[in-house]
Amino acid sequence: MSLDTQKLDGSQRQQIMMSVQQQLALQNAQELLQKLSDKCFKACVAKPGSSLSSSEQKCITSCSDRYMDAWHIVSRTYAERIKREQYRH
Amino acid sequence: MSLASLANDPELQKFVAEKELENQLTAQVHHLTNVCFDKCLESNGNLSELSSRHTACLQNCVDRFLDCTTLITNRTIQRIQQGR
Repeated sequence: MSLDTQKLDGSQRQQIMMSVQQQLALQNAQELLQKLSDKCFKACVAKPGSSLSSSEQKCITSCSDRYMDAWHIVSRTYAERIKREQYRH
Repeated sequence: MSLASLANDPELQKFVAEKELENQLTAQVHHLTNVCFDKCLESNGNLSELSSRHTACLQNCVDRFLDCTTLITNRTIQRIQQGR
């Protein structure tokens, strides 16, 4: 589909940009959810039973909080690294 | 949507380029978190908070992983130039 974007008015352009932004945010959230489930299931559920025990639930909750903490630390460190590299060149 | 159709639209072109870059950076953060969570927290689910040791490990992990990538990239280029 070829789109002639010049024929769009200001608010339509805004809409498209917002829509792209939302799709990317959604993609990001899905990626995060997938990682959280993978990591924490592996870390917390050794032998799957007929339901999640309360200790498993507690573990999964902590695990996902810690993963999010780690995500923020990594994100900051990475951003700082990029800034450092930029100033070197 | 054909990106070629954006050739006459510098504003949208810039927007798409920015979003692509952002996306790449975010993907890299996901990957780094994946690797460093395993390395530093040893897949430990039950921590009530991250200690300063854990934080330092995560920070080092990011920097060392990127150093590793740089080293490998340079080495690979070297090999290609040497015709191996």
